[in-house]
Amino acid sequence: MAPPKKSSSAPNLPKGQSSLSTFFGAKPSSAPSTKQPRSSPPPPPPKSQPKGTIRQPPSPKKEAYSQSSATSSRYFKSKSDLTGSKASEPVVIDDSDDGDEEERQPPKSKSKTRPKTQVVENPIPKRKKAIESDSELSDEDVSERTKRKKKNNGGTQSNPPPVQQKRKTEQTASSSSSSSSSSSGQRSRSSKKVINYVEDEDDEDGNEDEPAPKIKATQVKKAAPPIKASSAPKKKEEPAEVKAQVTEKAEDTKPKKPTFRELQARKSAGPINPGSKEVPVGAPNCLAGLTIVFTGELESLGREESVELAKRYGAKVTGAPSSKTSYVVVGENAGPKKLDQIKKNKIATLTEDEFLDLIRTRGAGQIDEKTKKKLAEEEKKIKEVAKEMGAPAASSGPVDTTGMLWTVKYAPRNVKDLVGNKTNIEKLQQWLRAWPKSLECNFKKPGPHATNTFRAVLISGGPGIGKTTAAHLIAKTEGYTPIELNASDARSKKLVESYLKDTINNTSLDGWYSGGKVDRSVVASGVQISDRTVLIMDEVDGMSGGDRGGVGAINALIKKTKIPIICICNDRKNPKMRPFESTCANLTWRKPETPAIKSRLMSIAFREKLKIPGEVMQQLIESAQNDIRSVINMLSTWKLSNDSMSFDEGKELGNSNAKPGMHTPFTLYSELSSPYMFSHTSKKTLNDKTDLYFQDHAIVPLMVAENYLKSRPVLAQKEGNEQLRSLKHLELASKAAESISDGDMIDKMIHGPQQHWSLMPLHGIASTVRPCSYTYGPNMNGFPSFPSWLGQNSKQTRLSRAVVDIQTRMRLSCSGSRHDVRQHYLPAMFPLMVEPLIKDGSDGIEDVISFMDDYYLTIEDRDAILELGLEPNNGEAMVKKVATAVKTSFTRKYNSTSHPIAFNKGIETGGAKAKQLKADTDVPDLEDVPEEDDQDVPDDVSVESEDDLSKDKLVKRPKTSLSKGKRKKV
Amino acid sequence: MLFVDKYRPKSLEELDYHQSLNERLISLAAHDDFPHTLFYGPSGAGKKTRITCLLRQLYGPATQKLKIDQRVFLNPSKRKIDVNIVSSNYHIELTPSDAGAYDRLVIQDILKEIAQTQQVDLNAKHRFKVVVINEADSLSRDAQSALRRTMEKYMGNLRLILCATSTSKIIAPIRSRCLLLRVGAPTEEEMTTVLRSVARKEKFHLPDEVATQICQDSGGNLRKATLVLEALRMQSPDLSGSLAIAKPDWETYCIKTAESILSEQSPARLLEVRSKLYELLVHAIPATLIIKTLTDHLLKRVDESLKAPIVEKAAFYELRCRTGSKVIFHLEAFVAQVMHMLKSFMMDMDFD
Repeated sequence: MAPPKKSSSAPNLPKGQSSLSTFFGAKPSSAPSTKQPRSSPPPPPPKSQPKGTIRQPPSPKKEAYSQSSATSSRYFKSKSDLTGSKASEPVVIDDSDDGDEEERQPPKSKSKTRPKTQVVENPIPKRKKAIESDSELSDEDVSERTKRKKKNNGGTQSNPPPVQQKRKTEQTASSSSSSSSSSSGQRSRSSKKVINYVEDEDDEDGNEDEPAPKIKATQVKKAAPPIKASSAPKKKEEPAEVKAQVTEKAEDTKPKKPTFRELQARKSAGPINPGSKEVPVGAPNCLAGLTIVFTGELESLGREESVELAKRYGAKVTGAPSSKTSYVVVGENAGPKKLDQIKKNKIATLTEDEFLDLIRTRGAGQIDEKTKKKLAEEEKKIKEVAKEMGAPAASSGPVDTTGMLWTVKYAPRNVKDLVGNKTNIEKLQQWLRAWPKSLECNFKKPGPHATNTFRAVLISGGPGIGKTTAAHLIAKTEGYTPIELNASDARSKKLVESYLKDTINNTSLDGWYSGGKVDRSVVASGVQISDRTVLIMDEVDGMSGGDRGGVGAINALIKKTKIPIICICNDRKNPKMRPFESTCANLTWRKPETPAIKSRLMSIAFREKLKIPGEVMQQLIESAQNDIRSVINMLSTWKLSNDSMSFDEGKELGNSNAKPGMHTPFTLYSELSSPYMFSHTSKKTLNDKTDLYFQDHAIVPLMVAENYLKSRPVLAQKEGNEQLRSLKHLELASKAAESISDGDMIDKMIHGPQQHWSLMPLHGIASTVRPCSYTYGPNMNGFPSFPSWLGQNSKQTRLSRAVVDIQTRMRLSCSGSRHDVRQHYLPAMFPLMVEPLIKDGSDGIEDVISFMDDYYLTIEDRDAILELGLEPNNGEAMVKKVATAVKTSFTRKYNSTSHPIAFNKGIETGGAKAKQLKADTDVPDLEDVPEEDDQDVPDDVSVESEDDLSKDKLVKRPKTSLSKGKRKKV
Repeated sequence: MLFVDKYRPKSLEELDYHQSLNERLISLAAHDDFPHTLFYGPSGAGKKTRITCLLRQLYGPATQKLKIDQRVFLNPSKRKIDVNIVSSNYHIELTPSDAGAYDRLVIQDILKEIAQTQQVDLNAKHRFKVVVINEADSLSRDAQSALRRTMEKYMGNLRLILCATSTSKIIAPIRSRCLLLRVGAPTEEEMTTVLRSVARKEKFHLPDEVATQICQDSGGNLRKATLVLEALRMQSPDLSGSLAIAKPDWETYCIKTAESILSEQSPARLLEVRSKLYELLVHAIPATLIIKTLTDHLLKRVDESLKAPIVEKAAFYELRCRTGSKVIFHLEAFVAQVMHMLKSFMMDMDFD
């Protein structure tokens, strides 16, 4: 069973790369700087390889497809050429990369044959030849040659027969193993009969322990396709000669339980070979009635894709296998628990190919009787329900329903029509029914649900799940007249009090109405009430701004209300809702189950003669996150133009109506850099990717700039050996960095004086999409980190301010600009500020203080100077050397003496300015300064003469005025 | 007080070098039609010193009696901007670049205010007042345009003295309205003379070799030379023996960063370099200086064939650092490209 001619050099490399890996693998990797590759001896000439393709890894498939349609990577590549990096890309790297991607574009039936062709041939000779000849060519030649090569490829593509033939000859020449010859035989068949061939392939993949239920298992395991075998190392024991490169894979074979992190990473890493298989188009509903479980990693489909595929054809997808499961689709690294479960319940398993085949072959008619019956029953029920609902009851007379919203038209009319939240509804009903009695006994008896001690209830839950509807309906069925106040009414404290207080506290109402026949009246306040009234305060968490004090007023009302109050909000955890916690019984509405909503909505659709298959409806409901109202609205708008809806239309509608929000910068970045985002199987358009930027255009670019170096780029993983991979990684990183730099230039144009806001999309692409298109891949740390730019920037601003402050103070004595101060003065001053304290201890204090006074520096400036020092002058480290006693005595000494200050802080413009000028003139020293013969630096505040004896006096003299100045400053 | 500030010349006659320039300044100051002037030249060449001396020549020693005011401006979005103004009775000195993007406001407000009032002091030698604008080359384009009209309209009351390191970023209309005065860096001999005079005043002996060593190291920046001299003096008071001139902290750190670029090239290392770059930026080292120092050091250590491309990249990203807003992106892009070049070179691959 072991694959005979497995690519022994680099087993799990995607096609084409083995050539590079073998080439470099053969060299001593420790000497990268030598000219080895170019000086290697000329190898034996390759067979019939055209000269134009010499630098290409020699898989012939590649030539055929490297010219295929422009992928996103090509788009970005050409863009990068425009933006200044030179057109001549490193040919080896880029070609292999690009060709690789394009190659994977599945060219229908041929895609299946690829693995074999790649493995059997030995690429070394051609490769060497390529480099050898390349070294003789100048750079221009290289680029020219690339062009020529492309032309060449076009040629080969247009007439496939030669390629096919060449491949065959190469194969037979280079490999004599039986497997390859048999597979080549198969291939010739396969080109004619696609489906037949695929079945063969499936059987080869089939594992021994696999029942392979529906598909005929005739040609079992004749030969094993090598790639397949390597991709499922768990089942088949790997041969020992696997190269170091696959160590990770090899580890997986050990029955070690992976950690959560590993599992997460594996999940995000996606399929090994995305898009390598053609996704078939099956008959609609062909999987109906089946329950399918997916486990492990499939080769070509991601988990989401596969689940969507199954649902599209009407299957039910569950998370864990049980006895009811029809099939389990097993991929690589399937969970051991699930495998146990499969064995225990004897569930049929499928491989990915078999699964695809099931879709292809299984007709819509193959549904078994049981399912048919079930479907029919469902349909019948839908029709029944549909009959009941619809136009309002006859009692209220014929109403024109044409202009009505569907949400109103099909609003539930009975309590049993309410979807979901049955227990909550029951609780609410019980509470309301028991309310008069509870009032009688002053809310002392808790009742069956412990809700009867409350005068009010607080219903909370997401939008569109029927909270308001339920409240109204229950109030009506219990014989109450609901009065609703919602966000459209002003509900400030005053209004709530004046409108409702008397209404609610009016105990005489009961008696007054009980005698007479009148059951309705208008009270002075203008609110209509009957003898039994319930107050529904809808959207209480929407009380803000104008509704100042409203929540408090309502809460005060609740405490002494004589009628039941129902409050409704979305988020109970909201701090605004806190007052209600103690006064209201809590009822939390949950999102109803999808099937329940589905059956109700199907009835509506039926009544409106809108043809929607069940799975489409389900998909729609899921995309709306079980918001019933939202789905009904979607359907009603859809009905305006169409009468039916297909799966894809439904999906699109769901996506376009998807609720915004739910995005944090972290999720946005994770999505942008996910391993699929830029793979050619990704269905995301450039616009979709740019939309992620627009979700938060301020932070997302920063997230990208912060994290692009922390990813493990998918594009680099394809490289053959460690060295090439790291080079490729670096290249990708440098391209990304370049693009981010471009992005900043655009950002400057947007936020600069011109404000070209129309450049936003371009900024999104340059700063976000393009860098990600290079470095997308799983994050090394598992989770993206928050942009450090924000913190660093504010620190930078703070310290720059400090420099400006220092410079301003020093300005009276020195001439330098702030840059001069930072770059030349500070390094020179640093030792003068600290070293005396280290060397001389407290004797140095005088020196430091007098130096500081020379430059009008305050103790804060000293701290700033210390903080501004870089590594060798690292402030903290230096200060640590100073004894604590010295530090404290320094501070004490500094605070006890007075110091010259350079200026007073300005407070405000205008009036303050005048005041400040006055303050300046108040300083008496101005007059004392000797004018002509003053050799010292003149300043307005303090004077220092040369001689030390008089210094004390002079310093002391202006003290009074100084302290006055200081006080003003504060 | 440091030597630099202690022995700064106070009048035009005391200046040590560029004698022809000094003489011209003296004769300019004697006339009443003193023009707008633009002093330009490298840092540490003596521009500001000459401006101060010139002011003294114009109005007498009272111009050296300075006071600092802090003025608060409100920008359009009501945020406060502090601007420090150094002034004497005869002149006022601004650094509008303190206000960042709102320097135009400062220029308009303050200049108009000054220009619209006449000289109060009747005994003043000249009828006009002088406004010194520091760092004129970092004025935004808007601010420079705002200057144009003012310079002509209020010529009667006001003279401008601009101070810049290079004229390249001053718009042509302003250049044509000013008398351009270039203050070139002093030669090594001139610097040695200055250092000697400092040593004489401080009464210590300055050996020749130390003087030349300092001059060579400081690259024509007299301020740097004087500061280094003082630092050396602190190290060994008699300046004997072999003295190692300590590099400033930021330069040492830049070199360390360059070393880590040279020793390994990988995205992980790039991340480390990023944090080093952040450290430099945070400590108020301008990005352009970082790029220059990095490049200088890289060039010493790389293969001949890589020098041209590295310098090209450095120039490219230096411009971007000036014109862009988030400098770290450009620095990082520069380092990434250099790393890619180095690595490709070592693996003997073509980089683009």
